[in-house]
Amino acid sequence: MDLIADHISHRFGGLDVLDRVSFTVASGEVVAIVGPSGCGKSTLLSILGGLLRPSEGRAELRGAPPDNSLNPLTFVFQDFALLPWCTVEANVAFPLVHTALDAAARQAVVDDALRRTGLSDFRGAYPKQLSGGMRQRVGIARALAVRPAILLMDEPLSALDSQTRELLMEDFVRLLADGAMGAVYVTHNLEEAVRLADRVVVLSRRPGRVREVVSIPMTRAERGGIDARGKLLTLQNQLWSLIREEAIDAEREVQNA
Amino acid sequence: MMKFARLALAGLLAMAAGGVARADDALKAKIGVLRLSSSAPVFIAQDKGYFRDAGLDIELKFFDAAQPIAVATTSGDVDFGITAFTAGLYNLAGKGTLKVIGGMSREKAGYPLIGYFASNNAYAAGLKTPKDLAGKRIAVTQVGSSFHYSLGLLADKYGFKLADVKVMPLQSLSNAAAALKGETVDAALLPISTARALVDSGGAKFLGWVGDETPWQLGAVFASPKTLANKALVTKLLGALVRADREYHDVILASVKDGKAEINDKTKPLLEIIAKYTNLPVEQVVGNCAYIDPDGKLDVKNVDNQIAWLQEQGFVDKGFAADAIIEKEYVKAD
Amino acid sequence: MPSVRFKMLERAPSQDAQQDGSVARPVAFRGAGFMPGGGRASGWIALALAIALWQLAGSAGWVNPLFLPAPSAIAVAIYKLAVSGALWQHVSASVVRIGSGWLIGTMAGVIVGFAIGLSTLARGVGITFISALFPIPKIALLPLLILWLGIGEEPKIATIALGVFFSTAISVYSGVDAVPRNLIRMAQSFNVPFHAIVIRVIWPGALPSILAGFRITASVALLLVVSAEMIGAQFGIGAFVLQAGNLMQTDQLLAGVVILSLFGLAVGKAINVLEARLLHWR
Repeated sequence: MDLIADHISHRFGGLDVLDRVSFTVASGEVVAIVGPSGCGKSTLLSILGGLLRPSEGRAELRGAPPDNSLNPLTFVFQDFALLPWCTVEANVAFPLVHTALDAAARQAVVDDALRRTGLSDFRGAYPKQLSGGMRQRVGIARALAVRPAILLMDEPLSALDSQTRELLMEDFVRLLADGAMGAVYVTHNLEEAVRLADRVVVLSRRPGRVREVVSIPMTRAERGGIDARGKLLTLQNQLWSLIREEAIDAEREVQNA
Repeated sequence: MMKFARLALAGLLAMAAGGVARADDALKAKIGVLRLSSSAPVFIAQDKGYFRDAGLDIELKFFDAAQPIAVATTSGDVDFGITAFTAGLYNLAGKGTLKVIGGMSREKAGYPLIGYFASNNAYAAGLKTPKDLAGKRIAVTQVGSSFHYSLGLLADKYGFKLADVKVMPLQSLSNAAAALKGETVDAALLPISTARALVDSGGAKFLGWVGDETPWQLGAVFASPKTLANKALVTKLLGALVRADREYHDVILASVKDGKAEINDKTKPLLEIIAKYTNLPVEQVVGNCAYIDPDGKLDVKNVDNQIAWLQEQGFVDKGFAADAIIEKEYVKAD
Repeated sequence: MPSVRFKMLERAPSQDAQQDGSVARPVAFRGAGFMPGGGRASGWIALALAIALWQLAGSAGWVNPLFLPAPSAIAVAIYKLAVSGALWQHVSASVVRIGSGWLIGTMAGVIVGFAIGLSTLARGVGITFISALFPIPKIALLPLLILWLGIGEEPKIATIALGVFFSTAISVYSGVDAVPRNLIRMAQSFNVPFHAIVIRVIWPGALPSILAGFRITASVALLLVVSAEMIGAQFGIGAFVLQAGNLMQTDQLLAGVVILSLFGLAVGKAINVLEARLLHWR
């Protein structure tokens, strides 16, 4: 199943946020969206996931989702969006309660998702008892439970400290390894983008336009090696040079506002 | 230092002298009173200068309910109180904080004050006279109020038990009037001032006047023990009041026919004084003239009866009778 | 050379004076205060002291017992009331009124509050009406309530229900407003149906402020029972307090007030328990 951004434009009041953004996320592909702050990255993701109606253009799906997918487009949120009154297990089960699954099947799905994210021992805990990294793992387990075709990840690591980010990045690499699941990964962190994405869509400053699409010519498995480091750093610098000028302008603008 | 002491002494002497001089001028006092025509002699005495003639400098403090006057007299905020007897007043007096020193308004045949009123439905169903009130739902303002006691007297007169009557305390006259109009009670005891508009607009039916059925001593003049220590003040005040009582009785009450005072050259000046203090037009004042004894006498026997009745009902603490709260030196009994 | 430097750093420097002769001194602590603790005993001790002082003032004759009856006189009044059996009549009459008025007002308030929190139309209409009607003193409406509902139990319950309704509606819709939007978006992103979002996200999310609202409306109900029992009540704590006031029986008046405040304490405790049960996740 492909996800297509088709000339998406968006305005908030009198403010142009996105301007005719078009790109395609092919089945199983991981696309990162980067750009200076305020370029509409998160707005674009909301539109792609059907949580926001664009002013013009539209988001499309092409091809059938996998048979067993309960929610083909599934979000992972920056602030985790866990229900604080539910245990880890109940949070993961939350999107399943209103599906056709019977209780036993539901339990099996939840158990599997908890196991894949290493949360089996924490199923009875409440979100407030968990560290930030564990909370985001709950968010990921919840997403996995509905077997998405494409994960829509909105800065999933930016609320976490750098060590936790590193650990979760390893989880992402592992989860996306088999190519069964695609992802749109919105981030301001270029290192994360080159580490995870097959292609990086660089948006310009507001109103966000597609400035360039950069392909990362390596499999994700190869990027872990020592010798890949230099190459990735070069790519990262290349992206930074695309963004830097505008990032400076964007920062100034915010300060003057 | 000496200089300063001398100066201070001189100042003190001057102040003392001033105080004596002022005391000689006029005795100051405050009277707590309601803006009702049942206090008419107070207004007449104040307006026509009878207090001033007696060497008094009187300030009238107006209240909107009887109870606060009794409390204000107890606490010393006013020196004298003039209002109706209530259970609350007797409870204060029973603790020795108040003494009755003279009579004021009375329920008396021919002088309408409090009436019995029926709802339209109850009237249609046969509640036509005060006697029929036995066993009915009857609104009063408060338990232990003048209205409640009047109902008790009626029960005694016609030999029905007050316990058979469903007494509904509704806390205010407007609530009681609303209940009567809304047919949620069969009857209510209301003062003529509240009831007149209700009856005229067809919202209720008139059954009779308390004064015609069971005359009793409604109001009194009272003072705190502290005030009573000043004999000159009390004597002068009562003297001025009796002068006004007599005038009110001989001029206005003498002209009352069918419950209404006449408006003529003699009554008009007094009626206008009452109208001024009660904020009512003269036309309404004439139908609202409480009987007051021309000599300021008090129906001591009835006061005793009131206390006994209220004690029996449990509204007044037991263990005292009328003579304990009456200052015999001043009160002229009937 | 590096090893020497490490050594110097490792050595505790405080014992010996440095080369320039200055002696190390401790940094003064300046972070004290501004952190009131929750001492439990102090509140009760203060209360006991206040009552003791009050009793002393009464026994020693410093104050007129009419103006401020001593605690012992109040206790005697309550005891007499309990022995005569009237206390239970008063308390049960009031409990029924408070309970049913509070329940009706709360249910209506929760429904309206949710409607305002969830629907644009209800919000426009509801907030206007609540703003217009909330500040009306319910006592001013008593004559009207009597005309509409008579002087039975209905106007008494209605008085309490009205007072409770507005506070509840306001606390419920602000509670609904305060549910984090990201949780609702999350539920929507999983295609959770509307009614399930209301039950499983908005209700528990709004529950803390709904319970905080209960704390207020329980007090409102207690306040209003006195007004409600102005309407022809023969029994009830409010009616008892009113009668004692009318008769100037100040010891009984304060006895009624003490009973009302014991009510208030009990209700507060009950809500504490409810909060601990339902909001343990906080």
